[in-house]
Amino acid sequence: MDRAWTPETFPRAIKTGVLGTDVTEACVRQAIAEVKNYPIAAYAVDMPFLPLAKGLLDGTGILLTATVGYPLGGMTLETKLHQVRYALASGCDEINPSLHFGAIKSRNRSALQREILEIRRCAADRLDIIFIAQFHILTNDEKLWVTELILDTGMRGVKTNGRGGTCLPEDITLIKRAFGDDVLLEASGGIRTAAEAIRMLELGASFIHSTSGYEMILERARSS
Amino acid sequence: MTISEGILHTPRNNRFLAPFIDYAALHVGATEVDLESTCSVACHYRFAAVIVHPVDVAWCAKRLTDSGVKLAAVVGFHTGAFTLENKLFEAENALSYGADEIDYVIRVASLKGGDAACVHREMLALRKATAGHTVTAILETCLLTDEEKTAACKFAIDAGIDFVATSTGFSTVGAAIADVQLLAKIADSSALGIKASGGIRSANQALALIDAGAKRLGSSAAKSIMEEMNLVSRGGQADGSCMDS
Repeated sequence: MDRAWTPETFPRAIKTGVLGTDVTEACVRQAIAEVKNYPIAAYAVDMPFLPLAKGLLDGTGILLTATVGYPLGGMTLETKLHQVRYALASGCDEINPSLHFGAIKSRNRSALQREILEIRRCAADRLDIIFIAQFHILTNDEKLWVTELILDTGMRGVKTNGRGGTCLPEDITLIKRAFGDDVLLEASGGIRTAAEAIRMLELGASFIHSTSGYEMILERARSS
Repeated sequence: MTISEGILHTPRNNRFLAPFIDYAALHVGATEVDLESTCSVACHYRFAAVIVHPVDVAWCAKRLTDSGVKLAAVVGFHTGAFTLENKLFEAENALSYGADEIDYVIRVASLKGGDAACVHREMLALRKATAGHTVTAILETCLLTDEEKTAACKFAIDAGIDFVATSTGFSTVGAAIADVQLLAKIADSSALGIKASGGIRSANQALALIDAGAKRLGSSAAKSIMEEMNLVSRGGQADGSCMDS
């Protein structure tokens, strides 16, 4: 089943990063040194480490990802835009904004549309944008509703979860059946092994985002 | 009788506990229905404050007008892994929407990574940016050594921070009695207060943290704690009433 995902092609579907409260500069340096020789798609670090990571990833072809409103989505739009501007100034290639999850739960379409469109305007076509929808707290109806809303604004990128929560294979199937190739779906949350990652990719995920990305790549190389 | 002895001899009931409580509505995906419930309970019991994400400040500020319950906004939540400029922006933004207090998460990684001075600079800047408002620095003590907790507490005293809080409630462990005792000992005879926060689920736990030196308690389980307290202070009879025990 997973023959298409060779040790050479598999890393291209992997996004990883080192994020969190106690992640130090030394952690970032070590983590990027480990992974930078593999052709992974993107690497995410917390805001204070963006300039450092930009330098460390220079010349690798790996995209630099910034989180926005991460991980709980409870920042105001103004604060999220402040972070987007910093991501632009730091030379990032991609952002992962956490949406206002309370607005999803209460189906506040206008608030979410405004948030998505303002972030898009602020990114000014200089950043790829993958919105974090936090599927693990949503019903299937809510997952479909928020994905449709993102697509309706002209955006394509949806990431299933941010910090916490588990991405289910059923989530990928649900979204891909409804929206097909209109959506660029990034599976994230609790994906720890290459086998789990490949299952998500075969169901239609475009990318896997996992803090275990490096270990997955090594695992895939060992099993070939 | 000292103040702490006075606390030990005060009847342990809802009236005693309520002024210590900061009722947190910080779970992912909180809706206006959740916020209304939180504000309503906080007003009913006359809690010290409600704590919310900045995006919910405007709504809660309107709801709590003239209630006597303060409104606190979290900043840099929950990892603290943001630039100082962004934390300052977020704090000023939350105050502009009507927050009374700011609870921000320190840059734990700087403390652990050999740049403790960064944490001090952050406290000085946040103190200045929130002048006239209560500001709390959340330390996330479960990730710190006792030396790191001590250093952060001393920085807070020097910077004129109002409270240091133990935890965000989103890391590995919440408020520990030993941590509150340690921080209270360092803060003794200073203006710094200690807030125990994260993982406080029972009345006994809340009272033990107060006895350890906490001046405020941050909890998302405050309603059930008060119901438990009410039940105990009425000799085990649950009657649904709240403030009259």
